[in-house]
Amino acid sequence: LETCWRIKWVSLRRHAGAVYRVSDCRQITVARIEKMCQYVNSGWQEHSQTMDELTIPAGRRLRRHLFSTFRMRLVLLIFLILIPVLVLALYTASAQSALARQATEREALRLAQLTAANQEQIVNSAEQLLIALAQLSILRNGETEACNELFVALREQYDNYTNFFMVDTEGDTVCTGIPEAAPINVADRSWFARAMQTDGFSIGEFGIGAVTGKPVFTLSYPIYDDDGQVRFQLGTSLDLEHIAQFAIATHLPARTTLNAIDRNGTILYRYPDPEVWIGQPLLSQTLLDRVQSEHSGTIETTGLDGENRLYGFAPLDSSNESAFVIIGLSNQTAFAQVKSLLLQNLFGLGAVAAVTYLLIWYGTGVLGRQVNTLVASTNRLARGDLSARVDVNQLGNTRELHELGISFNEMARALELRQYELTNEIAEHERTERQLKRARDELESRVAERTADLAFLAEAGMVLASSLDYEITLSAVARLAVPKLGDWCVIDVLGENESTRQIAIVHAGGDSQRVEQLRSMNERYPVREDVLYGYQHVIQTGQMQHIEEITPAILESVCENEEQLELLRELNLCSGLCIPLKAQDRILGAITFATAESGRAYSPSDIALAEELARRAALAVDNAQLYREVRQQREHLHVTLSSIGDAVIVTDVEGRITFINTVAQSITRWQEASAIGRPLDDVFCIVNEASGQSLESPFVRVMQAGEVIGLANNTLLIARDGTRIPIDDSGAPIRGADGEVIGIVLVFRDISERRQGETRLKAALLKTRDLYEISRRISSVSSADDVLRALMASSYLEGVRQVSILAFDRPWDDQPPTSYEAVAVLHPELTFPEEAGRCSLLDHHPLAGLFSREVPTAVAAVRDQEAIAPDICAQLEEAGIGGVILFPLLAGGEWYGMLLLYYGTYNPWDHAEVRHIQGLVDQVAVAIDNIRLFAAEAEARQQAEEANQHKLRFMGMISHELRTPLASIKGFATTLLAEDVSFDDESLRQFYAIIDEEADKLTELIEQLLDLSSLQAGTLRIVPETQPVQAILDAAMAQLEMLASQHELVVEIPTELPLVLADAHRIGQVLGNLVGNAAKYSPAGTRIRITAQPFDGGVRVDVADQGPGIPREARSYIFEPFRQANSGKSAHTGAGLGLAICNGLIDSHNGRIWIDDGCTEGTTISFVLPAVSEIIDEQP
Amino acid sequence: MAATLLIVEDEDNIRTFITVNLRARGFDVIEASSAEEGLRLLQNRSPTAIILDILLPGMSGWDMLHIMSQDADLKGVPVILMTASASNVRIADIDYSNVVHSLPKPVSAGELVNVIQKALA
Repeated sequence: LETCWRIKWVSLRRHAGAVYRVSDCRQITVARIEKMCQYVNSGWQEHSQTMDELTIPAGRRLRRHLFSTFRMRLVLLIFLILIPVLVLALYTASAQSALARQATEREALRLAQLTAANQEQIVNSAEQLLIALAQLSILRNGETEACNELFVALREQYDNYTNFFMVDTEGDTVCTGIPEAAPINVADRSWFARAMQTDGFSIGEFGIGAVTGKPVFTLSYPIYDDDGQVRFQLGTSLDLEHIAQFAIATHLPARTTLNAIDRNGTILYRYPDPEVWIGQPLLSQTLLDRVQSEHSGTIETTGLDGENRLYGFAPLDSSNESAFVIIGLSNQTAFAQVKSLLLQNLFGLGAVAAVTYLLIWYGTGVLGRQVNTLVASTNRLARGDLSARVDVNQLGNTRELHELGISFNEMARALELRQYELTNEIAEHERTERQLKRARDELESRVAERTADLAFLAEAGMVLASSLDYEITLSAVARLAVPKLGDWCVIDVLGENESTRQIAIVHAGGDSQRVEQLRSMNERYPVREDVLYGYQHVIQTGQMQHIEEITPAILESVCENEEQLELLRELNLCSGLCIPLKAQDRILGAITFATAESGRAYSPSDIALAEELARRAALAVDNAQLYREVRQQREHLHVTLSSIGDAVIVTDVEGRITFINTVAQSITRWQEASAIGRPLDDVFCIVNEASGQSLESPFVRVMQAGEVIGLANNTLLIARDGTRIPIDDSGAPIRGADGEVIGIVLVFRDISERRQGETRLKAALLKTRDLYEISRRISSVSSADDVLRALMASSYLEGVRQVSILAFDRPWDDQPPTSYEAVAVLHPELTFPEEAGRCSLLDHHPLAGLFSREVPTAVAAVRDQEAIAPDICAQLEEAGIGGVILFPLLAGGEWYGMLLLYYGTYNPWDHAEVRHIQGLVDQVAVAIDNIRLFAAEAEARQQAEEANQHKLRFMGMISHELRTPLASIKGFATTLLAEDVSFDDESLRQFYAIIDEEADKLTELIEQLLDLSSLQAGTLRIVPETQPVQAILDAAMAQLEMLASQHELVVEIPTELPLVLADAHRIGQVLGNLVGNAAKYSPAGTRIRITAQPFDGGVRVDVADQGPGIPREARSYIFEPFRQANSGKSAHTGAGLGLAICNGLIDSHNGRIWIDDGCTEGTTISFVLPAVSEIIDEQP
Repeated sequence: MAATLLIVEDEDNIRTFITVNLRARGFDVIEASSAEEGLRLLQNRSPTAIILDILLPGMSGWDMLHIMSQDADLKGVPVILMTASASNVRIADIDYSNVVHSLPKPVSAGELVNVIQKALA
């Protein structure tokens, strides 16, 4: 097996899972190994499948895409991080720009308003100037010349003022600061018309001056003559240039525009480049609309030069609002700072992104090269190059990568090592396999050799088995052994007297002359005992002797004389082998082989074969000798059989007796002389013990069966003199040497004594069966009668005439029970009448005096039993009862009844029988107890069900009783309410009366129900007082008399009564109920009696009427709620709660209420109230 | 001719209530305080309809219905049942086809008259 395992192992290693071929094993021709290989194959197949399942795929290569590399993912990550920063920067810029915008708007408006305020101030100072000038006489007198001079001087002095002039009321110029210009008429000017209408200072509208050609507005002040009439209008034109001066003075931000426009949008002045724009219309309609509508405010729009600006505007002259100043602040300027900040931020972000990207690009480039180094090495390993290693120095100083590289190298090293081991192992296994093949070839040749040997041995075995005469067989073997085992073969056998006898001398060449010479010489010169070679020595030592070369020295030491030496020399012996014939450690002789002419030497296999042959020959000799001994022993058998203890009869094949020993002679009463030669059936005559019929001849049965048989049991042998003897017998065929039956032998013995023991055994067996059977039946039945029937099936109770089971009303402990019940009686016609009844007083049982708890009481003869009265004896004897046994019935330690067995004639039992019967009775006791418990349980269950039913009925009754008065009340109430009909007064009164009456009924019923429920809940309040019964009656009398108004009420209370502790109101209620019932159920005019008397430590009160009485079956439930005697709908009204309440009330007083036994006329209900002393006694 | 109604009801006050109401509305009423009395009255009188209480002393309303169903003359007389609980009795479940209506207890005068008029219509 080990070889096979090794082969399998090699094969598995070699072919890496190839299934080993069975044929490789077959050459070894060992069936078990072959089988083993099959197991291995099937095992390997299963294993290979498992291996396939376990192979884990290397995995799929990832698809290449832009972000599949580590580097790009890192870049992506950084950009993702930068996005929120960018968003934040943009958001901040937007917020800042909103703030800047607000500030700019405020600034624009402020500047506009400042400009307007400045203008206002200029106007004010102009007004002051004009008022002052108006006072000059030259003006007032209209002296043109002087005036002109003054105006020219003023104009030169105040460059703010474009011109000074004075016009008459017709609008013609009187004098002017620019006298060189042609005089004009200003009557068509708007300011003139306005000035003429105004009595004081007036401000004209902005416009382009007619004389100056500049954007001006005109201010005027009237000059009055002495009459108070306007004579001239003194005026001045104010140039808007000063606004530019103001703008320059306030240092407007770069790219700021300042526009002054009139109401129609014509540009009056613009800074910068006023010369280009003055007189042009304002291009932005949006701006104009806004200015015209709001006058003051801000707006963002595109300016005249196409640039986006934030404009603030305000009216230049608040009185007319004919011109507006618009300050436009450039968006570019306003947001310049914000934009510059944003740009800085964005630039910073871009720089960070660029630097990060470069760092990642460089960093991942390095990492990628390191990883690629690892991947390349791994791929080499995967391609099978186990020498692949990673240069860890190339992996940089990243710790994880470094460790990964080291781990990889260790893995590769381990793999390489494993491969090296595997290679070595495979080489080793190849070597082993080669060795095995050599061994196998060798084995094959040896097997062939061995097969020839075995064939030889088989032939020798056959020869040896062919006869029991070993001299013949050994000679044949010797002939067979040459030339197989030599040229000579000699067999010597040890005789009985320790001398050797030469059985055979054989020569391969069949040289009979030589053989004869040798034989005669051996006879003449027996081998000496001190010779160290040859059979004599081997027989002595028991050891095989192999003489590889028979030298002359050996021959000389063996031989006695020259002649012998000469003969042996002539034989030309070469090599010799002498083997002892040994069987069971006994030396039987020796077999000697020698080679001569063939000159061959003995190989180990030759020696083994020779030894095997010797062993078999020895066995044959041994067997033959044993056989001889056996034959001698058979001679002795006859003698032995004659003296054996059992009876023996031997027959021949025809059934005639050939041998009968003395025991058989004495049992059969046949003498040997007369028996021999007779047919067996004459001498051995047997019958069945039970039937008396003769049995089939044992001879025939043995011959048919052909083997040992036990003959029939219960056999009686009929002896020659007719005596019947119980025997046990058996027979067996006798077989001849060739296996055929040559006769039978019968062995038998007298078993009379043993039979007696058997009878006792059978009785015990019967008893056990009885106990088992009866117990089983008792426990399986469910009624007491069946239990008794089962008990009576016992064979031990055959003489019982009748049997009764009595159960006491309560267990008999210290106190005897008062009555008993016959729960089961078998054959009741024979028993006492006292047992036939269902229930009797214990004292009435005729055998009560014999009841005992401890042991069964046996009355052998009733006549002799003193405890049995003579008349009972007579009664028993008349019924054929002679004896009785009384068993106590106990269950759970309680003595609850008796089992009575009545006998016709009682044969006293022995101790064992009593014990046996007691066992059965114990079973009966338990069974009867179980049946009673079961019955009690069933009864309790039925009562519970009845109580439930009763409760349902109770609810139904309450519902009905409540509904009936309600029906009347509702009926009449609705009748009274009816509008379609009318009733007379009499009827109406009747209806009201009925409603009242029914309401009373309802009230009473509800009160009763409440009382009842309080009683049942135990919450009804009782206020007991110590008082005489008379007092209670006196209190209730008026009510009672009213209730019994149709009857004769008689009250008889003796004076000498104990005081009672009672609630007078509640007891009055009880009396009222009882009297009310009496009155209700008895005919009018009859008597109702209330009597009282001392009773059982209290006072008993009876209320008796002369009515029909309460039916007997109703008495048990009359005190239950809604249980009127004639159940269902009564002819009498009333809910049936009265007596239930009475019962509850009396109970609460610790009293008792009951109804008469029905023997007297009418109905009497009685109750007892405990006397005061009684209560006091109880309570301490 | 006015319709005649037989009332079989053991409670005097309830019977009175039915009687006065029906008489006040022009019906002829004959009264019986038990089923036995009702059957006796039916031997001589042929009422248009019967108002019958179920729970009666002695013979019950059901007994009376059964006896009426055996009589060819009586089994067609319409019957209005009086029951303590109307929900306990469904007209559809009653084997007697002449039972046309049931009256619960308690019942108002108006309802009573309504049911009787409907039953006689």
